[in-house]
Amino acid sequence: MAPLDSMFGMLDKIKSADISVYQQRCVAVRNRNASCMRCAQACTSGAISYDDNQLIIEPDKCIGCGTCATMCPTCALEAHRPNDAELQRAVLAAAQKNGGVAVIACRQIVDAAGNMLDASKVVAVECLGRIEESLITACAVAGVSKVMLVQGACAECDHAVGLETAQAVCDTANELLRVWDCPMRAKIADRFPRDVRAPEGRAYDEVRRNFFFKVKDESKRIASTVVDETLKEELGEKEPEEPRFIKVMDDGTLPHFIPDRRERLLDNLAALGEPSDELIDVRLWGHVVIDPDICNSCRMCATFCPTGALRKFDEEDGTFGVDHYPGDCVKCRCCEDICPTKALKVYDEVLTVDILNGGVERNEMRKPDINYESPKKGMFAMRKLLGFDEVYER
Amino acid sequence: MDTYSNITVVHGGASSGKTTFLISHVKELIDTGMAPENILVVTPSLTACRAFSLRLAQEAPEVAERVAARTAQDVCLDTIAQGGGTRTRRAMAAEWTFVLADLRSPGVGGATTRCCLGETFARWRRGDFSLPDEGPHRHVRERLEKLLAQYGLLAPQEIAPRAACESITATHAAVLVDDAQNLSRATLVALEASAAHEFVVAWNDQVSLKGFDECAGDISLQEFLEKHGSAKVVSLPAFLDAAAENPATAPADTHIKAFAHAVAHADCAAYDRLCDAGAIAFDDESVVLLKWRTPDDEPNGIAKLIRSMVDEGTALPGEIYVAVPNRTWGIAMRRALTRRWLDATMALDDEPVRGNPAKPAAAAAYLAYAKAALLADAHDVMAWRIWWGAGQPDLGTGLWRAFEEWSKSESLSLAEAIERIAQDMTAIPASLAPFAARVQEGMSFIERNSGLKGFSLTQTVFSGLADDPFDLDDVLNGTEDAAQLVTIIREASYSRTFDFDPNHVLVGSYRGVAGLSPRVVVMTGAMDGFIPSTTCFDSNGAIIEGSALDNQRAIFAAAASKARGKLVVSTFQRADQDLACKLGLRERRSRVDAGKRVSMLSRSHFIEDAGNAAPGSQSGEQYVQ
Repeated sequence: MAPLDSMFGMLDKIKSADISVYQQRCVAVRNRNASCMRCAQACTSGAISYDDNQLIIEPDKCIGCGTCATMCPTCALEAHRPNDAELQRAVLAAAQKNGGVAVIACRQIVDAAGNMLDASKVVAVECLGRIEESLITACAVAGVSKVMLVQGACAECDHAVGLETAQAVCDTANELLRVWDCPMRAKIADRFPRDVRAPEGRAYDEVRRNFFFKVKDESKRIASTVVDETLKEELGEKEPEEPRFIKVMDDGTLPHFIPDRRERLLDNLAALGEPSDELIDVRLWGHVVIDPDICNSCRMCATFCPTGALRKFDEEDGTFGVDHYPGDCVKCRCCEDICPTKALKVYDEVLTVDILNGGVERNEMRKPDINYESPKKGMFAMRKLLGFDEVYER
Repeated sequence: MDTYSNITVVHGGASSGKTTFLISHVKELIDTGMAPENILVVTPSLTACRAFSLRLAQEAPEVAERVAARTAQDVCLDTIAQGGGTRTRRAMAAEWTFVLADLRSPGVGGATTRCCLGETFARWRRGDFSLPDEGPHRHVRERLEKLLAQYGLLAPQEIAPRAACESITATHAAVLVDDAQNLSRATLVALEASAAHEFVVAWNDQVSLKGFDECAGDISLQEFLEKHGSAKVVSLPAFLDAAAENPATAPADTHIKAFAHAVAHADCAAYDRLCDAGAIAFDDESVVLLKWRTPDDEPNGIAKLIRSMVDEGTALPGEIYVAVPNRTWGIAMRRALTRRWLDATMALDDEPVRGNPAKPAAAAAYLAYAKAALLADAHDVMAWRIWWGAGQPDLGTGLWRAFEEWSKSESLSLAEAIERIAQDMTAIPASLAPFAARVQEGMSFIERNSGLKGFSLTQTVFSGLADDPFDLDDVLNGTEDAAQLVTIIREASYSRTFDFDPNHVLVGSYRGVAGLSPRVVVMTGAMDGFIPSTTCFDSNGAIIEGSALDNQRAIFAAAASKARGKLVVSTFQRADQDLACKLGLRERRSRVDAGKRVSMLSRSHFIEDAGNAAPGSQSGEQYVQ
């Protein structure tokens, strides 16, 4: 039997065919003190785990529902085949054929409906948890009058969390659409609208067949990967390990990334016009407040912020601190988790005008009590500052 | 035309093995006793020529040097020269600008001139060189032919049709044409007539690129085959079909080809099929989509990436092609590579002498070319024309026309008239005095500097300009005399090429990768506004479907398909609004960032069209760590 560490290596290799993992975007990988585990919590099949500073997906358990990708604030997990662009294209094409109503349904109920549905008017997804706000707002921009997410027996389903996610997405999207004064709404329905019923003699077999092929290919792929890995092990062909640590850039922060989904959502909102000026509480944005009395000016929040919503500034007059761009915040709460003095808090309410216009809040900080005269003194100061002893001189 | 029995047409998509077929056919012909000197290989561009010769040198080193590889246009020009034509040189764009300026006649409007030119080109394409009936069209046409004759130039649009109309005698026993889909009907006729026994045509039946031949795109494969009923047809299996049928043996670049296919057809069904068949691994990373924060981050990041590829042994520098959307990007890329201790050779589509000659910035380059041409040949009338007109608001058209009339009244050719003015300034009317003074100035320049070579020559000619105003550093060896320098500039005006040093990274246009097969292709600036260009968008930012979009899609797909091992598509997220506006980048929305208004930019429409075949975008900064 293969040794345990070898098995773990193989599990790492066998990622899901339906979900791509970008380790460097995961806040838990970027900083082990970050508490975000929304993907693993959303995955009721238990396919996602976090081990040895890596996010791992076990493909034999993953059903490719995409709920984890919807929940991940930094898009460290991305669903593909269909990817977001392809899914959006399919949904808009189906909505056009269905008189401006987009109907997206759980694959199970589509399969159960069989020949009764017109395949060109319905888009089937593995789980409604795959739907996210940028898709719904794209429908609004395209002039779709209504988005219907048709649930199957979701309450009894093993992956019921998908329905909860879909409901949260609908709530967020509807709130955004309300603030942007757009009449379109997304809602979860129990049954298909009458319009998507198939004309006499039209079957839905094609979709069903594709589904079965996919399952078969998945098993074949896992088998071939296992054989391949075992052979490599036997032949001593060891691939070089990927770097396990992310390096900081010239500005002393880890690389930032604004996910495509977030950009698409902002583009769609911009296309819808100007929002009403109010505070909104949705799952996508957060508002960072730093208590200057408690803050020790370490600026770790900016160093680890995955999107650059918190950015360091150093003015010529000596003032320094952190700028907060609420529009870029993805509410991963990494900053809140890692703040050594708990001076930082992420609030749920954000101003709508800040989302698109690049509103910025300046948080000036006091000079840290660090003596840089010698490396040793700097090291001890950093230990004191960060509150732990594992800081070394190099 | 259809008198041959030995016509072979080999067709297939990208990477189906057409060029490999041609190489093996060359070897086969030599094995059967044909002398290598009797074989001519023709490609649309100089880069493709050199690349073919290099590949042949690897496969058959003993004969490679003796097999001629030439561009289709060079073959056509030779054909015209053999036919005894007085005009044998292609007009550079710079020269064509002056021809058009001189074409303006009093009483004939610009619209009429344009209309007449359009009709003339259409007639030439049909092989009709007769003069039109009486009227303004005839007047403009007569003037055009007179101008071309006095400058000894061929219009780019007439080269292939004229070559096809010549009574050509075969020059080679076998002529093999690569990428024939990029050539015109007339060019193919001329090439076919050059072959005595064997004519082999390799045709990509999926993607054709315009710009290598002024009349390209006027014949399809089907039409060509219909006209050559006796042709032997070799259909190479489509790369993707073969990969889907035998997924276990699918090559490593299957995802790259599937991505290119998805871009070309705006459909990812083939990619999905290959994934289902297992021909593309789900974690395949041969296609990477990078997103940088700003345009400034891109060259440095890409240079860092290339440096790491070279250090890790992924590819030699000469196996890496960096496709850039324009000259600014090319220069920035080359500088960034130099900072990482990587040499680069650059060849872009634009001509060495370019821009509006009436404006001072461009006029200096025109004058530099005129200096070189006058040192090469003091009787070059076009060089004198540029020497006189560059930098003047109307390009000196009025006095030049007066000079033409005076020389006609004196029964002198223009060259003779210039010589006479140089000898005696008083020989011409006083109204032409400024022109005469300029001629004197030119003559004294020639006297002072004739016989210069190499560095002294370039210093004299390019004085007051940038170090390498024509981007010819890569091809100049420092010993050229004026005639050689002018030949190099003219050659580069048709088809620029690289120096193909294995230690030099290739930096070129998206289209310039045609004919090459680099291991790594890095497509920089893959943004809406660059590719597709601004002309493909309406004022509301909506895409305009049409031939311009199709052409650019073909260029994008062809560039992507050329990568053998890795394809990196590079984009960026935002730019200062002023810069974005200046560069023509398409803005999705704008916002204020650190006190400045920035444009949030849109990556290339073609990437979105690739659907599932397009990989997820990754942070460039994270990827190059």
